[in-house]
Amino acid sequence: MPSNQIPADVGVTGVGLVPLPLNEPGAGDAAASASRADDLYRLSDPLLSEVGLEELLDTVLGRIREILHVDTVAILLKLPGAAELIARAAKGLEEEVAQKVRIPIGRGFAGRIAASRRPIFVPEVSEADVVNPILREVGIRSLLGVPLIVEGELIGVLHVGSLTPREFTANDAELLALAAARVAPGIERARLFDELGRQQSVAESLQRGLLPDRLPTLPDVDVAARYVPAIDEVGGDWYDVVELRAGRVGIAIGDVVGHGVRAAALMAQLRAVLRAYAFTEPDPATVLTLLDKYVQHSHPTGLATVVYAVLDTEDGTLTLAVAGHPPLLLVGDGTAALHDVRGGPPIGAVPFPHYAAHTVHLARGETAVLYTDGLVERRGETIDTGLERLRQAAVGELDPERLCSRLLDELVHGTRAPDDIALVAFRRPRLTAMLELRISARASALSPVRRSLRSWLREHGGDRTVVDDIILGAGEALANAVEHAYRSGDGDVQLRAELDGDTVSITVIDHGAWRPPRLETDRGRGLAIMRSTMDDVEITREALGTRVVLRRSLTAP
Amino acid sequence: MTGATLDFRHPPDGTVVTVRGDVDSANANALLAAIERRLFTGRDARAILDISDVDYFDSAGVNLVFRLARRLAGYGSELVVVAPPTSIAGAALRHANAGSAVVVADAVPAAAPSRPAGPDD
Repeated sequence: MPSNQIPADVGVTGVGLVPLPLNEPGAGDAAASASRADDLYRLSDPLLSEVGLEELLDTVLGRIREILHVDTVAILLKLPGAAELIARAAKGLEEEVAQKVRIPIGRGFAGRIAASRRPIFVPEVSEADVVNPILREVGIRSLLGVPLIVEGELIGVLHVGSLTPREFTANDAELLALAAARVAPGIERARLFDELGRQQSVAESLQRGLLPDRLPTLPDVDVAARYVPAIDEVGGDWYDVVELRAGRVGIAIGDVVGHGVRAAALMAQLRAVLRAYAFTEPDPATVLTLLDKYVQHSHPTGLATVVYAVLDTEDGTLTLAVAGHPPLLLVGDGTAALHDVRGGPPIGAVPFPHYAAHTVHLARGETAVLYTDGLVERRGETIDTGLERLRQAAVGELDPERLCSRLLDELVHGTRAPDDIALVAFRRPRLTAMLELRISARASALSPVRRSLRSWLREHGGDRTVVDDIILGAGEALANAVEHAYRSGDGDVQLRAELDGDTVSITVIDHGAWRPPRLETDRGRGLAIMRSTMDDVEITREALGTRVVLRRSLTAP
Repeated sequence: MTGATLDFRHPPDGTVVTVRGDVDSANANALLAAIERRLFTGRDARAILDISDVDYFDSAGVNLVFRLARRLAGYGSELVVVAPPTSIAGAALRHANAGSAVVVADAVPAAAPSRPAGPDD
C-alpha cells in the first residue's frame, strides 16, 4: 500500500523531520493482527456515516487516541478557497480549536503535510518545524501526521502527538493513514451537508425573521396569516399588516420571483420599502408605483408580484392595487368569489407601469383572503383549476384563523409544497348589540378603544358629526378612568355601550380613587367637554371606584 | 401605530406647525415639548398651529394649545390656531369654550400659505 511507503524525501527540510523507520509489520503475530483488525473496524464503523460532522469528528478522534495510545489528536480542515488550514476538532489540544488556529499551507508541521500530501513524523519537536505555539505550549514532544484526501483533493490534515518522546512506527503511520482514508469522505460529506444545512437555515431564519412575529392586535378587524416555506429552498414570499391612521389598516402580500437567499433579501427590502410608503401614502396605487420605482432604480433585475390593500375598518371600504398577483378571494355567508381586478404588471417588469386603485366593500362578517401562487399552483394544470379549488375550499368558513388552516389543509395537505406560500385572511367582525371592552390603564390603550367605539356607533347609524361628539365625550371619560386606575395601580378600565331606541348610553368604570377635578385643568376641561358633548352625564363615586354614564341621542344634532 | 405626526414649515413671517393623527393624553406632553423645541430656537414672531386635519383631539390637546399660547405670549409672539368649527379640533375647542382665550382661524393665514395638500388631506 503506497500510503505507508514513506519516502526519504518527504519534501520538507526542517531540522528534526525524518522519514519514518520502515519496520516490518508483525505479520506472524496473530494476536496483534486480530487487535489490528479490531482497530480498523472501530475506525470504519458504518454507524459513523450516519452521524453529523461534530459527532463524527469527536468519535473518530477519541478512537484514534485510544488505538494509538497518543496524548493529542487533531484534525485541521482546508478552508474552502484559501491556502490555509483551520483547527476543526481536537483531543488534548482543545485550545487549538477554541482559538480557531489557522496554519498556512506549506508552513509548519501540518502545513507541510498539506503541501506535500505525505505523512510526516517529527521525533523531537522544535521551534523550527512547528509554527503553532499551542503545540509547543502543550508540551508535545513527538508528532505524526497524515493528509486527508478525498477524490484526489486535499481536505485537511490529521495528526497525533505524544507528550513523551516516542518513535512512531510504520505500523502506527499505516493505521493513521488508514484512519484518515476511512474518515475523510465522511468528514467531507458531513461538512458539505452541514454547510448546506447552515445556508438553508440562514435563509430560512432570515425569511422568518422578516415576517411579522405576530400580527398587530387591531381594533375592529380580525387578521390571521400563515407562511409555509418551500420544501427544499427558501423563497421570496411575504405578507405584512400595518395599522395606519384613522382606523385604516394596510395589508400587503408579495412574491419575489426566484428562490434562495437573494430572493429572501429582496423580499426583505420590498417589505420595508412598502411599509415606509404605506405610512405616508394613503393610495395603494401610489404605493405600488413608488415600490416599482424603487425596484427599477435599485434592483433592475428584481421582479415581484404584489397586492397592497387598505381597509377602512369603519365603513368597510377595501381599496386595493394589484401588481401581477393572483386575485383577492372574498368569502361570505355560504359563498366565495374571486375578485379579479384589472391589475398592473409585476413590480420591476416594465418601465413606467400603471397601477390603479380599485375598491371593494367588505361587509361585516365577510372575510377577504390574499395569498401567493404557491397555494394554488400545481404542476400540469392551469391556474384556473387551482383558483377554483381555492374558491370551493373556502366556502363555509368565515373565521380567519380557521379559514387559513382549512385552505392549507385542503390545498397543500399540510406538506411543504415545491413553492413557498404566504396567506393573509381578514374580516370586520359582526356587530354586537352591546359593545363591551376592557382595557389596561395605559394612555396608549385609549386610541384603539375609541376606534372600536367609533366603528360601533357608525355602524348603528350614527351621523359623522354626532359620532365625533360622542367619541370626544367618551374619550374624556376614558382618559379620566385610565388616569384614576393608573394612579391607584389598579388594573383595568371597562367600557360598555348600549343602544336604547335612539339613545346610546356609554358606561365607563374604573376602580381607582376619584379626585375632584379643578376647573381650568385638563381634567376640569375634560369634564366640561363631557357635559357639553353629551345630553346627560352621571358620575357615581363608589367605594371601589368611579362609574361614569354618558347618554346621547344618536340622531339629534 | 396610531399617534400623531408633526410637520414644520418656515414661511418668512413665522413657523407653521401641522399636527395630524390622534392627540390625546398619551402624546400631548411629548407633542408640546417637540413643538416648543422647534419654535423657541427660531424666535418666531408668529406661530401657526394647524390642527385642522387631526383625527382625534380632546382636553389634553386643548390644554396643549393653551400652554403653547401662554409660552409664546411670554416671548412676545402670537399663536394662531387653525381649526375650522366643523373640524374635530374645532369642535373640541368649542366644547371646551376655548375660543375666547386663543385666536382660532378657519385656514392658514394667506401671509403664510398652507403647505401643499399632503397625501392624507
